[in-house]
Amino acid sequence: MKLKTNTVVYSVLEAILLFYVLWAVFDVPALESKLLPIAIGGATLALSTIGLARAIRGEFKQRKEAPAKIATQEKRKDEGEQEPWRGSLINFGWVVGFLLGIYLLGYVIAIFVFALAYMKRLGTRWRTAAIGAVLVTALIYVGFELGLQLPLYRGLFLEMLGY
Amino acid sequence: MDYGALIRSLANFSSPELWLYIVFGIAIGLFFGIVPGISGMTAITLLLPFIFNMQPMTALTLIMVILATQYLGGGITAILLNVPGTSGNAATLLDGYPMSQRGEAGRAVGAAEAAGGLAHIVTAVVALLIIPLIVPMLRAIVSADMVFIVLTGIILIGSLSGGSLIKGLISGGLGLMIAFIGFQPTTGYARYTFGSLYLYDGLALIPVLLGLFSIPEMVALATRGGTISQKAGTIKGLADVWRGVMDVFRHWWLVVRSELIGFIVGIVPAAGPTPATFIAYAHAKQTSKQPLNFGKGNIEGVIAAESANNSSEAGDLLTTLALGIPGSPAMALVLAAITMLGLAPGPEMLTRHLDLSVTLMWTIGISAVIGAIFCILMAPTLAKVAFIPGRILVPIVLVLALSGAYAYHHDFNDTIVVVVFGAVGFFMRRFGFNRPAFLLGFVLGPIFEKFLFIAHKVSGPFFFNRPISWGLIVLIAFTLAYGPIKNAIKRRRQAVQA
Repeated sequence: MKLKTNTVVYSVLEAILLFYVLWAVFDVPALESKLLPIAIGGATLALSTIGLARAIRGEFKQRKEAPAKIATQEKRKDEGEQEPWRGSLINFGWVVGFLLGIYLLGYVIAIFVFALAYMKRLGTRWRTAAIGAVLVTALIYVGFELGLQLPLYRGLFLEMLGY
Repeated sequence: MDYGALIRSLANFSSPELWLYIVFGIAIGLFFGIVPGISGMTAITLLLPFIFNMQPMTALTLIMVILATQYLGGGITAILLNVPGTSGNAATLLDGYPMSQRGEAGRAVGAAEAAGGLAHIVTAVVALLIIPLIVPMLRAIVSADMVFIVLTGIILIGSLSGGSLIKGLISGGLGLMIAFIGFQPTTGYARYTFGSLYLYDGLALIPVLLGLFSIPEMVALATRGGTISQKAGTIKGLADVWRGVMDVFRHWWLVVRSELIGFIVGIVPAAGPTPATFIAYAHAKQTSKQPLNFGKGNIEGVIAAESANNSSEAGDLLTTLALGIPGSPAMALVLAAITMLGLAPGPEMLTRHLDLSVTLMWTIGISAVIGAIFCILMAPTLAKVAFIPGRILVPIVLVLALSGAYAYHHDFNDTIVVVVFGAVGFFMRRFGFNRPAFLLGFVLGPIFEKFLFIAHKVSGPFFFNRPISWGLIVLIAFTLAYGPIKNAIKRRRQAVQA
């Protein structure tokens, strides 16, 4: 039986909230420090349990009524006007890749590489992407290093090389 | 009430530096308002890392200018492209776009901009005049009441911003929970730091904000594909635009009523501009001599919608400054900025920092009038901005978001936090959780904890036994009970009918 999106979301949330509350109970020392995390975490956990119960109840009710029809409706409702999962995750992957790039290569190189590659991937022509990448890199470099006198993070590789 | 502050604050506008920021803010606000898919909120989120060491007056003026002018820009795309630049312009397209299709785009844009500019200046003055009524009420507020004011804000934003009540409340709760990370101020014990020195001071506001709002929107825009409607209307000439401006003065009574609706809805915490526009639009239709023309290109529809959404801003700001409860999701960002700049949102803003608050009100009015005049004169050119494709915009905004986070503390960990909260924001957006409520919980969490402990120390466990606190408790109970009761009545009626 395939679970509805809301059921999965609330279940994951329950686990996170339970961890949060238990951490406050066992790890945070003074009562004064742990009181609010337990109270707010507990109240949120209770709300999440209500949400989970409703999601499960709704799921059973719908399946009893008209399984085939509901399954289609459910899929439509879940997807709604949202962007497709695959595309969203790929684009989010680019953001994570950019972060990794900054960590390894530093801001200046990573910004140029990311802006060029991502603009190209989104369908920009090479020339426009190159101009865009140069401009945005120059903007950040001039703004931060020269304007704000703020040295940008150099990245693991350049730091290893002594820059 | 210090009436001198109303005049004294006008002297702040003699500073050329302030004017520079006003002009800059107008350009940013119009740009982000015109480009569909991003809004003034995105602009403010990206700017926050750069304004934290600015003077509060300059920084908040810049933010208010952006917020005040975004709807003016958004109205242009609603009329020409049938795509509202911001959610507050959603009702404008109902009659604006049909007018555009009929070849009256210039007239619609002229009416929208004139109504918007006028609405801002009128409601800013009204807001200034009613401050004396609000100040005595604020003086009666003590720590115990502040606890419930914070709770009321989170619950109102969580429950009234649309979507599921439970998800809204959970979002607010999650925001509060994240705010508890780091040292607890009264005991000095660290909470949820997992041994990381970075977490000892708690999570910084800017990386959390950038992650929650800019990353999910950009990921969505990149996935959707960046091309906007191709069937743009055109503006023939300024004579047509001027005709629209005159329409606003011809329908002055409608303008007054719509502004009143917008202002009052704006004052209501968590309501925001979108309901205000639709209420004003429905009211205009009900009272019009030509109700059947609504939706087919009636100028009254454009005027009512734009008067209302632009009027809500002053009301929104008043609630945000006076009570520390944001009137709309955008005002949650203003609240975040106020906190970040070292000011305390709430009653102090209308007493100790009255000059600043009054200047912000004047800023709304003045910048919107300048913005409206600029839009009226440059409407044909401004319309072209809407065609900047997402494939260029998205990488630039992402670069600004991840670099902006670094500017705050010069710490790479902040950049990691942006991406982590980008993921949180992505899932919240995807599954219908309420990001403004989360943000509000996060911003108000430390204030909530501080006032709760003060109230408890001063008045004991029954600290809430005060008229204002009880009033707020009743309001919270009503807010929570309203939805379920309404649904139960609806179900009962349906059962009776069946």
